[in-house]
Amino acid sequence: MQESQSGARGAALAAGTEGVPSRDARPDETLSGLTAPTVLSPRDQQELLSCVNTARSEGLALVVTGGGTAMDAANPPRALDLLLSTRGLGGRVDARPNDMVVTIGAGATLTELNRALAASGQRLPLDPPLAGQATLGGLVAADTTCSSSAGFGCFRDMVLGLNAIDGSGRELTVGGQVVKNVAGYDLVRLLAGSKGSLAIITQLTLRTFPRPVAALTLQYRLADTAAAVAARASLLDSELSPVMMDLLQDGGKDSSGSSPDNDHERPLLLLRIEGGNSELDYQQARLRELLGCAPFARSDNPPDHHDTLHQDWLLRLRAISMPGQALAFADRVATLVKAGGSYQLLTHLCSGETVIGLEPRPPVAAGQAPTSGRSPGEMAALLAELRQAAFDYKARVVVEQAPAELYELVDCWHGRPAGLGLMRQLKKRFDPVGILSPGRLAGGL
Amino acid sequence: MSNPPLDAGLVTRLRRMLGEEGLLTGEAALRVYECDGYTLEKARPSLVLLPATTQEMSRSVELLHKAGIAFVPRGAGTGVSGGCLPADIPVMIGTSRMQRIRRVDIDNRRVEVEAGVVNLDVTRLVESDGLHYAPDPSSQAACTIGGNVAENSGGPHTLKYGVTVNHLLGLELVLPDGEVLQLSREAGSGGFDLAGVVTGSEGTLGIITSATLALVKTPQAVATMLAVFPGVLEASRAVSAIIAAGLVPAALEMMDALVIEAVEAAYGFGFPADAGAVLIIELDGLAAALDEQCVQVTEACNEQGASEIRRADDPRERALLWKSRKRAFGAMGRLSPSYCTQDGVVPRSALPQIVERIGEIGRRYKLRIANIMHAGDGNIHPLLLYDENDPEEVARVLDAGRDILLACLELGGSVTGEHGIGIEKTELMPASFGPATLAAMADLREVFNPRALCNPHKILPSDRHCVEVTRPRPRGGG
Repeated sequence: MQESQSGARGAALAAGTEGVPSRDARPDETLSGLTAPTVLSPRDQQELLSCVNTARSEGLALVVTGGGTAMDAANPPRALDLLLSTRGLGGRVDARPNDMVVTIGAGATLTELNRALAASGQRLPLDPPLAGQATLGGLVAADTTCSSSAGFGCFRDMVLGLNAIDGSGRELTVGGQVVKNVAGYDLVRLLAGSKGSLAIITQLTLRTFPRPVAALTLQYRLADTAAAVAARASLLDSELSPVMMDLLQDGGKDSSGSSPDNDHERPLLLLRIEGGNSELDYQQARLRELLGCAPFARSDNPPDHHDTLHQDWLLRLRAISMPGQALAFADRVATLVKAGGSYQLLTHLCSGETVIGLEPRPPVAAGQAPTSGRSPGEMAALLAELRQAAFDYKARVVVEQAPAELYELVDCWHGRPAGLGLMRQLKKRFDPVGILSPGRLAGGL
Repeated sequence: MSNPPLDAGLVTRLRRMLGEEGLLTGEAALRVYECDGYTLEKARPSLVLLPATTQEMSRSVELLHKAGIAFVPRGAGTGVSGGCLPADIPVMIGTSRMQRIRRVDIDNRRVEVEAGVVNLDVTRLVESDGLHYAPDPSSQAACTIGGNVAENSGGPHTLKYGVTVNHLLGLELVLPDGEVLQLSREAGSGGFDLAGVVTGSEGTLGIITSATLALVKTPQAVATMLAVFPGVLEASRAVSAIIAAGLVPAALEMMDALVIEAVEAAYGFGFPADAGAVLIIELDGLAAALDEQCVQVTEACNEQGASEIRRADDPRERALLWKSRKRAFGAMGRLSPSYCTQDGVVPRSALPQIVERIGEIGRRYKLRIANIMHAGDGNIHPLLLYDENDPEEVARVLDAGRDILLACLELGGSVTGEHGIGIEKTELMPASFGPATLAAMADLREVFNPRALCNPHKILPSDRHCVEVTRPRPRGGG
């Protein structure tokens, strides 16, 4: 029965989306532990609309995917018939450097955008993990926090306007093409961060910024967390505004660990500063005064710590707290996780978010047997413990990536958002049949 | 226009709850509430409620909701699109008694203040800590935070710092049925950004009773420059040249000859008498950077034919320059008995085109139009001068204003950059958005405000509009 139903659905899907490139999902193309039978890759708005309309009339549940970098950062959908890739919706880049605005297809990656903007001296200055893979539509839909959010805010702050198709097949054009605009309800706010559960973003108009004359990444080894707290305070009180203020902490490795750096368990402060040459000189001199030491590493390039944290760990959590409490909570997290093996904590000092990497991914080519690690049940118990501890810090802990089995045991979201009743009604209006990522968000949204 | 009297029993219950201070009736007391800064149309509410707490607000709204009576929220009444005009709305609910500072949290760079706190007072609270609240509308000495959030207010410094929504961390909202929600914009909630959606919704999704605002660092150094040009076209081109040089000034403002004349008469800053247009250019950041940037600005302005460039290094001179700009609207009274401020946006590179179009429209309608612009944002504020005793002239003002906004749309812009749609521009919404998008907006409003009791007839075109409101008529006297 089950099979014949899905067979009939498959046929209806094929008929309704004829001409839209379609293929079977790859084994690694999973989301929150599930695999979709089919991946459709519409190449334009019309093809996307036919996919949405078919899904609507056949009651097929779909999840939108861009670069696939945040597919695990939500609960598994209640049903999954179809993965809808927006990667084909790249298209022409319309950069207007004199207006500091760009319009681009949602399927383009951030790296592609910045490459296109480079000639005109502009850029989109946010630095999410895996920028070469993540699509702009996905980054806006996920409203991914970045290291450089310290200087530039979030993706939602970059969006001036967008085109989208909602779950009822409406083609929406919201916001505008100009940097200031308060005409009508700001549906950009509703869709940014809604993780593809109300509408599928097809095109974006984004703010851009001039490239700085120079930029530097500076790394400092701090003695301990207390030193990090002091460094944060003196940076905040100073006249300086680094565009990145991250603290990276490694721990839990046994003493014979592989790291050649004896200092690896001491917190690493990563700052990125920008400006003209005289500004950079001034900032470096002031940082030496404020932090009482020179950086042990200095580079023109932005760091890749966010990427490696994304790739090297099987279980990735995110703790969200007030910025002033973030390091204290990160310390508590370290205490709770260190007995179970190695871990890495990345705290964005301005936003107060800490990304927690647990369960190192075993090296692919190594001859040694993989370390046992925590069982899914132990991971669930640890998450519960972390959430219990979070209560004292008014923090929350959400799951961003986990082994498939864990999704059956835990809720990725920590609690329910205020206004859930209104959100459910909005979901009904924008996606009446419930085809877009049903149940992926908090409270079964 | 007036509203029918209310049920006496309901008024008694409201008075018992809110006290004499919290409930206003009678013509004399209500006159001040009959319009905001958009004075082309007026309507007096039957009753004004001034709750002092969220609980009073919630219970007032609940009572009105149960009785099926429409109400309109009001902050300081400094809006300029008729957003709080009580047209066909019997009850007005003001936030002026909700003035508590709930939390000043320097470590987390935020404050939580009630809706009736004045914008400028937020900065005063924290300036000794080297912080400020960035959005600074021209009315910042009077306008209140609740209204700022409801309108998503801007100001001259939005070019670098963004508008209200970019500084909003959360808010407390009384829904149109009286329920109170605490909405946060923190990451990882697993829901939708309702606080973001409420921002700029012009009091149609509920009443904002408090807001949590992000504070930004007060820059180490500020350089304010004045550049004088033969005309607005040259000044507009200089704006593009400054942006093209890779600079992001904190503010980039333009005033044309008519505005300069009025401002000079009022404040005596010392603008040259023959100036065709001036740019106020403010750079901020680290002192080490500013000298070099000032040189770049000077070069860009010189290339576009600036006749004079002055740097206002003395804080008093800087303050006077900003006073001239921020109070320019007030000074216009010297030139004309009345004026209508329009608010449109074009891509900043299209400023020369819109300036020409405004000139043409002024000639076609035989009107004097002065121009103040947040030029760096492409946000124009043409001031259409008229005499409100001349009904025929008032009609031309309305038509010219509409033509200017349609020209903004043609150039790829918007019919409002910071003043809102209110009641003034609802008929321009179909020119701005397609039917599907308007339907989605209507869906959003119905979810929050299903009985359309909270500030009806605003933002979206409505067939229930009375004729007087969509086509305001001139008022005699005044």
